[in-house]
Amino acid sequence: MSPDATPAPALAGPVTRRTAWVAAAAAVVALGAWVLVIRAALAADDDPGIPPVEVLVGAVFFGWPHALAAATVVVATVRTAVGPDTPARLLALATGGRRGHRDEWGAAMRAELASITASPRERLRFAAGCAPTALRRGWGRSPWIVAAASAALFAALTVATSRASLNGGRTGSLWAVISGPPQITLLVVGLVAAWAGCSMRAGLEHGVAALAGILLGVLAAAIPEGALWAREAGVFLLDGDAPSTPLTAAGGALDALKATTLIWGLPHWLPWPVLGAAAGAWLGGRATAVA
Amino acid sequence: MTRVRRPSRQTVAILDALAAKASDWSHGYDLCRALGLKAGTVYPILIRLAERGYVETAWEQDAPQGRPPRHLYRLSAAGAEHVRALRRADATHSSRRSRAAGRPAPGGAAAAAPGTGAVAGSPA
Repeated sequence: MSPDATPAPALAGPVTRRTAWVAAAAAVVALGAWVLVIRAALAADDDPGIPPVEVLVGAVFFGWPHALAAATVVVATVRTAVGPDTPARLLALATGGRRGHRDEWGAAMRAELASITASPRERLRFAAGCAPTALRRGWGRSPWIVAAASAALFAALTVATSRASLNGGRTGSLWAVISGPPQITLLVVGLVAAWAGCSMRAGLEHGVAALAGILLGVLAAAIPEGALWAREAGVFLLDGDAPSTPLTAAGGALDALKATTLIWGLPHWLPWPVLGAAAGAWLGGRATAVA
Repeated sequence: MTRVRRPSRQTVAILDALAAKASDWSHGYDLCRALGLKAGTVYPILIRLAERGYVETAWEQDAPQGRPPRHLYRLSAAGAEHVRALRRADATHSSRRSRAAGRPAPGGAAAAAPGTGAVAGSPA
């Protein structure tokens, strides 16, 4: 028998007109979700008088990365999930994007599925059984290192800017930390990992790890800092605003938590690992093609 | 004497099946069918056993036209030794239990059914 020489992975599928329409629909759905979010926020603020056109402009302003990421996910999924039937497409999706020795077990599962001709149900059972294993397999250590480094970096950044602002103008500091630096970091991490690995999957794995690290790092620092700002200055860590009623330490911590996870942080960070990974995979593919 | 950590029932079943085939190669799906286990159980175990050096892997060389080569598995020398160690540990455990219950020891691990906690068959 041969030593391990992994069979070549399946080529990516073409982008058809139907795929383009589905991707466009996904982008519209993402923008529609932003319209609903903005309308709900305006209603909660008793400010329903904003014209629909302005709501739409706001949705495009805030939601264009989400729309682009949704369309990208659709195209990448369709291109990866190539096969003669649903089980084959499912397994291609779960195992796709690995290179070299990391693809060995994915290739083993795909080849085994190709040999199963008993019944479509049996093929689906096998593919569904393999898919979770294939998704977990082959992450390696680097995403964990990226997650730890991101957590440490953003925790330090949150504390440093908080203390500098608290000892200075007290205009709040969290806004500057969560609006911009995470997006740039996630874009760069996704892009570099996908470019280096010539695979969108590598970019996504590192980007998602960075996203988890940034979230944990900011929260770990912002919650105690929010409480500190409430005690020391009686204002919010986010923007230095003072509430109408006296701010407790718990209230300050809760505002930092909400701003990071629900309002200005996580929802705005989500598309950037996808966009970075897609750009990196595209650049990596071009470089390989040129070479 | 080195203490052998008891693997899971499913791992023992897979080791049993591979040991029973000695130097012959097995396929992943055939192991699933023979043992009545799901692919989501068999493959993580095969991956772990291969990473620990207990299972050798190779690609089928004479795959039919139109089908990719299948991945093949068999016990390595280290795997066979591991199976023997498990059998010894199992036999010791069984005889201790029998003595504690005041009964004579059964015929060792080889007498037990595959997949029920003992490793049966000749490993190499």
